[in-house]
Amino acid sequence: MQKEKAYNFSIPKRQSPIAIFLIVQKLIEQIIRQFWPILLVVILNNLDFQTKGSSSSEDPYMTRILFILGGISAVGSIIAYFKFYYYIKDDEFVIEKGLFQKKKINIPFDRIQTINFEQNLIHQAFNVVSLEVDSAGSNQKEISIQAIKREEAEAIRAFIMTEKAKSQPILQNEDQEVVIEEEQPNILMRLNPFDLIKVGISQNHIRGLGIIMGFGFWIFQTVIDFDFIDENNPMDIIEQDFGLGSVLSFWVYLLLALIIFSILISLMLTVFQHFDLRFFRTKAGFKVVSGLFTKREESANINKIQFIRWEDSILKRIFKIFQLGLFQASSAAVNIRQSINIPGCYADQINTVRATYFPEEGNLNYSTHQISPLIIGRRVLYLGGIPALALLINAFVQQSIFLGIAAVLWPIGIFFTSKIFHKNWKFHVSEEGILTENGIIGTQFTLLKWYKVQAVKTRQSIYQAKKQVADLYFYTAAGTVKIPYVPLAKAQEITNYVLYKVEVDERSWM
Amino acid sequence: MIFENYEINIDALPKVETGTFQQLDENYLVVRYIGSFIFFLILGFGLIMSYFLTDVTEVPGLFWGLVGLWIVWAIASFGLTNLGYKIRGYILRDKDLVHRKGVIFKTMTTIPFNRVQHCEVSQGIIQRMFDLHTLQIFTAGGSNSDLSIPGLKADTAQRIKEFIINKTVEETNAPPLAIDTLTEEVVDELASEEIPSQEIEKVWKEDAENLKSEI
Repeated sequence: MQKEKAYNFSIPKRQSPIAIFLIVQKLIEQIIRQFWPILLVVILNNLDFQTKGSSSSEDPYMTRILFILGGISAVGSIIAYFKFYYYIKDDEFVIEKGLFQKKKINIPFDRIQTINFEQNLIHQAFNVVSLEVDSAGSNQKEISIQAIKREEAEAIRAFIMTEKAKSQPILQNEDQEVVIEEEQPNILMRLNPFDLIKVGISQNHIRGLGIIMGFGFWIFQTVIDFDFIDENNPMDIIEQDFGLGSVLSFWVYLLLALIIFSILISLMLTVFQHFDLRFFRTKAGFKVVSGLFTKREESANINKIQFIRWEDSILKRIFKIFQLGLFQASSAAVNIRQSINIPGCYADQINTVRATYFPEEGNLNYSTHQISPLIIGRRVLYLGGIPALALLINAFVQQSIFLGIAAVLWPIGIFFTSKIFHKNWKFHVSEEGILTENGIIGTQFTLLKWYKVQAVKTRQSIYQAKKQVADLYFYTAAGTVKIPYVPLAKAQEITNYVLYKVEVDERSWM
Repeated sequence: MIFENYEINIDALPKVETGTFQQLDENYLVVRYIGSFIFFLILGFGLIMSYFLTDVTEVPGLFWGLVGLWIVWAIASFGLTNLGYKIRGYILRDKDLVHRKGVIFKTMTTIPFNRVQHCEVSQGIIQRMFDLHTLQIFTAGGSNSDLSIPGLKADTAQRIKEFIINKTVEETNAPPLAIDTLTEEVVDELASEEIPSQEIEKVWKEDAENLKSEI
């Protein structure tokens, strides 16, 4: 803490020299990410060239061009490092950069929403962090510094946040005053390795499966595009080599492998992302620190939180954990990074966060409403009927009984899940806010205070217009809360009331 | 009744649904027709090219099927344009702006002025021929709730923009909690201290430049 005084922020400074490494590293990563098929072609062709002694003549040029481009960008990045300065002047955070065209970015303190740090392995080795400043406004205007000493970064953040607080005494409302009384950051929870495994196992594995399938498909496509392999049907190969029966067992094994693999992937991702996660209650709001290789530190100012959302699933319910999301106002659109995610929260922590975001919640009168049952029919028609029709046509074309049965069972399944979907969709309306509740297997809760809303929309399809129902949307600076199939009169009443609440409210909402 | 337990009378609240919507300028319908016409012209050109340059004729009926689709789509689109024009409109109220549009999906969006970040008037090429403008209203946190109202006469667009900006200035510059204790002088002083609209424009210009140099 004493070190703070040693920094003079008004002198323009360069980043820590480690930034050069990071810039070059990022560049290489980018090149590989964008040009990997070409690189692969080049490498494979070169191998080909060496073994066979003949190949197309264009490829060496491609390699050369790639190297020249890479070289130019590398030199450019290093010069960019020397042309990059940051300093603080007159309550503004300033960055000067640019090689040919000088750029000066000023962000006034009162426009700064949050300052976040991130550390990857290189950062950790040299005790530096990358610093990101998120500013207000609907335009994307972010300052980021690649590498800066940890203590200095903390000093800058402390300095800016205190200056910012000083300049805005009026905007401190009751919520904040309560917070200021607490002096020490209060640890709400910490994920121990056991919790982490629980979280990992109860993740949505369909996502992991999707990643694998998507990735596999993408590789397959790209590789085919670059003419690497013959477009022989792999199934034919298997059939030829191992006989017809193997095809079926191949699929079974593949499915099993995929399931195990996707669980492993979610487990791994969870460990990488949430290792040693600590969730704090700070003076201004909440703070989350986590990560194995890349240490992330994110903070959410209570004022900036627009709505909160927590959800469970079958597996999560067994472990009695929820996943909590704090949706924060951000400059970039609905950015994942701005909505802080805390997996593995217990009911206790959810309640603390609820009470902080919406202290008056417990004292309000709620009326509970359901969405229109018409949604069942629509879901059966669109989610059930259309795929069933496709299946049925296929069944006739392929003369397959299996597909025919699927065509009958599918819409029936959709019908029952839709009934559950309708039964579970509830919204609880109060004078100051709304709590929505929905989900077929798990339940997702969303809590939104009315004064955080910045636009209200009703949307009706032709069918909905005829049946006098509407989808209701509440837009906030951190994303949208949607309620489907609300009876029109109710939707209009809520719209008018919410607009009234927003228009008479003079609190700062972000 | 949903909010029975509240001291204000829900029925007395201003109602979004009963307002009369201002229609867009008549010429905007022409603008839309021209836009559609160009689109279908290009599509038609593509069809003709495909007749000569590709194997589309080898599949019996495919080409004429596509032509039929083109005709049906064009007619439907012109019909929808007409209907859409009739539905599309806005209500400028004291504290918010209501915008209605859409034939197949009818949406009604309301943005309170005290949540508006920034306002802009812009113009497309076809709109320029008729001296029509688009008013864009931006809110914080991405483009989801941003509004754009096309087909406005130059002075209408400007006037609405000024109106909204004045409203946002009123809302943001008046110190919220202490308004009673302040004299009007102080409020005026605060209001004149900075001109957010200009400042916002400045920031946006900077941004555009940043973007340009990045590209």
